[in-house]
Amino acid sequence: MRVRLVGIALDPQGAEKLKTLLSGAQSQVSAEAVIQHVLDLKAAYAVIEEPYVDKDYSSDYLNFYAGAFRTYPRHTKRIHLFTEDISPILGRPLAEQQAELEKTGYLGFVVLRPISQGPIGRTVLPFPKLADDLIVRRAARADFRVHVLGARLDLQGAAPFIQQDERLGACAQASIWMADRPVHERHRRTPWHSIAEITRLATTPTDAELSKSLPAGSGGLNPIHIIRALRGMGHQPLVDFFLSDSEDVEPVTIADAGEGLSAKIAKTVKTNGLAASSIIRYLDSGVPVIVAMADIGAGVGHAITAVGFVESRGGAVGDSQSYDTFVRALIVHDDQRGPYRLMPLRQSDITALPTNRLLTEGDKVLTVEDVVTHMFVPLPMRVFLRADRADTVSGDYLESFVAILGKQMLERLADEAEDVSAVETFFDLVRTKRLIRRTYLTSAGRYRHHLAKSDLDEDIKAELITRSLPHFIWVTELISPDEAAAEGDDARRVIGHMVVNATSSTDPNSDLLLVHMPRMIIHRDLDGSLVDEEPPEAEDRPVDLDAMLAPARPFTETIITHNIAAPYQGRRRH
Amino acid sequence: MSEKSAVRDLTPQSTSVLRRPVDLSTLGFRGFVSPHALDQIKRAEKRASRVVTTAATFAFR
Repeated sequence: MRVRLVGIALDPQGAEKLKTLLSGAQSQVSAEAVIQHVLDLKAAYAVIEEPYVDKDYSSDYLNFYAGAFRTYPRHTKRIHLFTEDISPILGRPLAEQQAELEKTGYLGFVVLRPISQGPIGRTVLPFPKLADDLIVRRAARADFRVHVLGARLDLQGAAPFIQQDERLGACAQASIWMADRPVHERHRRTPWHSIAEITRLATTPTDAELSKSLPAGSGGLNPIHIIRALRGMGHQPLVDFFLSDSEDVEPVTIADAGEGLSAKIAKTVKTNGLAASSIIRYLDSGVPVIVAMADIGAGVGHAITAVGFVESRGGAVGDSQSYDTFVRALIVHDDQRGPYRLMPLRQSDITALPTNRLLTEGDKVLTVEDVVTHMFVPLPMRVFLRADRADTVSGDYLESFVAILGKQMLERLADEAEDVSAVETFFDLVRTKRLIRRTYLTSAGRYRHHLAKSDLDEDIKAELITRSLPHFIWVTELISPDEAAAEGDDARRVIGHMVVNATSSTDPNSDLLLVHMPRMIIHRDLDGSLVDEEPPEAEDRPVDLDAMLAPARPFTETIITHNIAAPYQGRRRH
Repeated sequence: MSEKSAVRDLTPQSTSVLRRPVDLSTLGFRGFVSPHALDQIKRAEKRASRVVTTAATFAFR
């Protein structure tokens, strides 16, 4: 058996041929989306490599297709995409080919599986480039290396996509795969898992619901199954629920879902407005999010994977106090609608986004505020504190501090240096609830790395960087709502930040570690105590029972004032 | 013995612009989480737990 390479120029006819190859029996929408995406990336040439042994398809073949009565091919095809016609390069001596191919504009690849109901296999393509007033923030991203006849081709910062095959898995399994794979490739903190393995983890032990479709799990998963799969894969699954509290939900079985989800749910899906801010905090932490919708209007529930978000280059476009106030849309992979679709946060964001990328169901544009009911986040095992708690603790602290000490601190600071305008502005933003909090997860090492490189005053840096920290922390950057995004894809400038322990215990009073505000730094020492241990001065020194029995303070807090109030660069993650 | 010490403290120092630390409790402030925020945290946890308690109601395919 020999490897064969076939080139296709991506003129309109060539693009149409490629779309036909990718379409299969039921995949026209996804195929069109893939072709549209690669043409937007200026793909000019495709090279089909066959046969190709794809690890994911091989696992599915072993678990199902090898045992089917019908004979399924063992191998796939892999379609490589380039921004230029590389056929002249492939006519040169092989040693020259390798050097030249490594310099070309390689865009990535699509694995073509030999199954008509879901031919688009593992697909690795870059994030889209959008208009100048929109910034693409890549959350789930990893680097990939492929070899074509010995030439090494690299692709950086891509989020893998896959279609469901309707045999081994449905949308839920595909979404779990699309959330797990970039985490595995980038961090290697979890093992590699195929769709077949995800289905096995989700459906073990099986239950009555799963058994109503064959193979078990091919008819869809419920939230428990998704949580079980994520946990079995080595993640710490974090979940949230966005249906309004007043919802009464009646039980519905997975087998019934195909005939139309409960009419009551279909008519009364009403969300609580918290999905956008919650999802963005995890995406901004570099963690993909499985987003589920109880009813998208077709009478069935559906799960997709958020891999990034689109930020407006100007000031706030929403009215939230969280970073979603600057965000227009989630970037999502939908196994039935294609890669890198845009899901607007609000109805008002639709017109700001390119129409041909919008996530739709028929004529209806699906927005986060209208249809998202669940989220599932594959967190590292050592993160014990939720993002919303870190954000609540940070916001609450600022409000208390300004309310109780605001006036006194302004007087003290004015004694030290007359100009307190930056502090007054900051306090005003807190009091009027206009201060934006950008909360994200990071490691202490990465926090210090960014701090060292930032344009913050050197002495402030030295004070903060030597602070002892746990491995994982939540950082809350404090931003003015009028702050526009910086040039290119740099982060917005911030006026302060706070650090919360992401490995914190059950006591929220032990969460906060550090606060940096204009002209002030607050340190929290969690090992502080009110009981001073002094050596006895005399043998008959009386015992102070009250002091002995007084509870230790959960922390001691010290404030350091200084004259630096200038904003500084926030953390550019994407 | 050499006049230059072989052992030096290399910790970054930040003394030129920062004033002495002051215990916030002496200024009348203790940064405990407010009852309102504690309630918000509890409500968020209860809301998240509904994913599990209502799981049989939903199917994603």
